[in-house]
Amino acid sequence: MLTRPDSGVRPASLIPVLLLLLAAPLTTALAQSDYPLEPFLGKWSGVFTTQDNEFWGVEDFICFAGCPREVRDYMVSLLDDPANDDRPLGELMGETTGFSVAHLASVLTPLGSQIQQANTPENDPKLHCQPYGFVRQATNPLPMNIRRLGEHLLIQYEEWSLLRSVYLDGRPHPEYQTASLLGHAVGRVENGILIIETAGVTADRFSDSTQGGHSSELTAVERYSVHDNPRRLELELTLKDPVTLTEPYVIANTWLFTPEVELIQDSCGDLPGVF
Amino acid sequence: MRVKWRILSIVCLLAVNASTGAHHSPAMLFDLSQEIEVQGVVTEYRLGNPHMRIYLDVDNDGTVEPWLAEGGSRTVLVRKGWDGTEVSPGDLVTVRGQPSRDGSNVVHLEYLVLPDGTELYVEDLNFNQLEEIRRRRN
Repeated sequence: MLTRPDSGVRPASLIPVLLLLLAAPLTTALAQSDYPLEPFLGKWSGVFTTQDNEFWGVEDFICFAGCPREVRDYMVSLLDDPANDDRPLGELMGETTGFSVAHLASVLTPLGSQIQQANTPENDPKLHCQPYGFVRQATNPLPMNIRRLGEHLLIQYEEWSLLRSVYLDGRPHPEYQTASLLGHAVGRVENGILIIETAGVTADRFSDSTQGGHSSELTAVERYSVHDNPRRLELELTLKDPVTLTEPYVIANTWLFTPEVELIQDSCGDLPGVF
Repeated sequence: MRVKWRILSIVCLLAVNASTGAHHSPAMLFDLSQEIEVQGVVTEYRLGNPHMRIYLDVDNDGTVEPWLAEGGSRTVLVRKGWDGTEVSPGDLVTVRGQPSRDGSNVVHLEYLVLPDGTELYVEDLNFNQLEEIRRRRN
């Protein structure tokens, strides 16, 4: 009878296995924290749902849906001027909005100017349940949830309950594509900045306040960075459109990290009294 | 029922009563140097995107005029407990806010007074709070 002198398992041989088992959660955590997109994941909310946070300054509220740095700086200059101390805030906001419209007009092509003048609040398709296009969604102050979807990103916007895929596998924009509401987005992380490039966007407005518009030749680059105290997501969105813009137009906005916020299902017809 | 409307020029009180609007700056569309108060009968109410809207029939010295009062963002109001049943067609309500710049019968809605007298704040941002932030800044 052939016997195996070591057929039993020695306790000492289990030590490496136990160490591996104990280390597994740690290595998993390390792998997750090494995921370059990890800082960007989660729910983020703009001033509408975080007004009580002391981070916000008055100038942030005039730019609640995003605005060029020049516009924000203009509001700050008005607030800093002692001559304006007795002027109502609404009046300063009105002056800043006028500056905003003029600032945009200075970078519009003749056709871009015509579009701006033709766009009015009354003929905005949003009033007929046409969801915002890419620019107004990307700068939207309402909450959004940035989620990992396999090797890609899925951005869930509360307003209109729109979903946006961002491909991270290095693929280019398709050579032939039909323009769509949110376009085709590809992204990457460079030096801690999430960069998303978008093209193939349906011609639309890119601002309610300035009534500016873009063509389907729009290309856009979003640069997202995460900061602390409070934890927040900052966006710099650069728009290029040879049809309506003579030079790049840059919009910035900020959202606070709000894991406690529950995104509300949004549509035009799921509540009594709605459109 | 006779419904009256009045416009109050309150340039100096703007700081207290102006608001920042929803997805567009109200400074572009509305005259922030005035406040108007309009009383009328609700013909339609929409807690819709992107802003809530109340359509009113307003009796202006015997002439019935259609008015529109536009308030805050739908989901912001839903988060505060609104559910689309706040008013119904036929309700007599009062709306208070800023008039349109182009003279059309539109109100940038800040306060909605229900038939039972309850007053609701309808805007996304609390302007009084913004003034407080401004005071702290200075």
